[in-house]
Amino acid sequence: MRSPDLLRHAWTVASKDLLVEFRSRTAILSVAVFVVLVLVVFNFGRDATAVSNVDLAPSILWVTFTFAAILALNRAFQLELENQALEGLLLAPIDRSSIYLGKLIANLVFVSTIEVIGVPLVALFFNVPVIQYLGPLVLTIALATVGFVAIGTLFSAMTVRTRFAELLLPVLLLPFMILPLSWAVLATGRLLAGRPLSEIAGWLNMLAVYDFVFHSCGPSFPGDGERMRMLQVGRWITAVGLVLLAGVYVRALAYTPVEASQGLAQKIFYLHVPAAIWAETAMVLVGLASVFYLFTKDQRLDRFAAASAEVGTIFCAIVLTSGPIWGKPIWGTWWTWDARLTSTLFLFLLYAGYLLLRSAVTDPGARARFSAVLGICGMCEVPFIHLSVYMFPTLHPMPIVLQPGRPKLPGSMLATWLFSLGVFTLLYVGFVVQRYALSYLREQRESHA
Amino acid sequence: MPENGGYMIAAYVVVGAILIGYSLSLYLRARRSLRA
Repeated sequence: MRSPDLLRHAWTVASKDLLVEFRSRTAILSVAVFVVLVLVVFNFGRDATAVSNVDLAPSILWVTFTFAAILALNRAFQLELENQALEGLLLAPIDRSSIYLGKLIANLVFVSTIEVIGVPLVALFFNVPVIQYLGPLVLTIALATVGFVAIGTLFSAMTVRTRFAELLLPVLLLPFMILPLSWAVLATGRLLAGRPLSEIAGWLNMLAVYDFVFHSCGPSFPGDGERMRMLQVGRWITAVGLVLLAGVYVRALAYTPVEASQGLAQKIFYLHVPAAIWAETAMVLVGLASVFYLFTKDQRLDRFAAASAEVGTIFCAIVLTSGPIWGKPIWGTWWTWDARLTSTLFLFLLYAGYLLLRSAVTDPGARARFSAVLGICGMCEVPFIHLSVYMFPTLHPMPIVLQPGRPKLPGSMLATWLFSLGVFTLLYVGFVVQRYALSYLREQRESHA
Repeated sequence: MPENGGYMIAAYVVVGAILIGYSLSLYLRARRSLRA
């Protein structure tokens, strides 16, 4: 389809949604009231003597935007369910990319309106100065909003016809919103504290990369006839991830200070910990997809669970190889049977068992059901792995980033670690999209056979 | 400061090899599926 047609059709879909909203104004008024109520609840749910307004305001601002945006995104496709309008939309002689793009534009307008209401209210209620930082603040909000609305519109399209769509959307979306939200909170916090713009440039760059990647994968995702495009998008995201991984190597090795007590071996941290986070998160996502699969029997959830499990196995393998290489110079041994190491090994064996089970059962329905049960069991193990350092005596260090309170890392080390976490997130998304498309291709081949 | 740069290099090489190896594996499996 030619670009002018794509944009024209997208604008038709967007203007239809905006016109519906303009005529009723129900959703925008409801969400505006919701924003006010959330801010009031935050105001009474804090101890003003413990944390200053300027420190707290960025978190309040972004948590409020997140909740309000999820409400807005939920209604994007729900709107079409009335009177079977979704079928009419899908039957229209337009490319599905233009439907996605139209919904994206409408959602951006909707969420931006909420933000226009929210920012002055936060300034008013929490007495924070925003006028003098308005330009950079608007840029930060715009970059973060464009990213999470893109991925939110995509997930909204995927979940609209599932049962529990209102619950499934935040469950799928929130893990992907954590990164842009953390970057946005850090940038907003520094802005409101009057720090120079150069300090937030890194976060803004990361937000721009996030936007670029998720806007590229969005239009290509839905639709059974678009396996090849999905595969290509997955390859493209992976390629960007691998190039950025080289950037992580350069930044970690050349531009991040050496830790004095552990020496150069400490730099393994920048690869080991992001891989561990995604090894655990991948299993949580397998479990959540499995829970919803058992209720809905939606094959897309089973495909996603299979893809996430395979990618989780790869990240777990990284943890189990980089960990001992780090442990040898620091602990004096490659391996010790302590709680964290042993439970991570169990996680790897669980992944391996899950993949073996999938390959052993030939009936697709039984395979999906059995592996869903195993996936849910695997998800239940993840909190024990993460908390094992608190529950048992162990050689493994306590968490220094994902722990209550501020991260115990100097700023430059934290920046490198967050950069690496972003790159591992990209790689996870790229791998899962490719593996998901591969499942499609295999099912096509099996059905032809 | 301890001299342990060799371990760091080994870990970075291993992690890169795993990620690139898995990317290649996905590429080759997809190519095989498309040819079948």
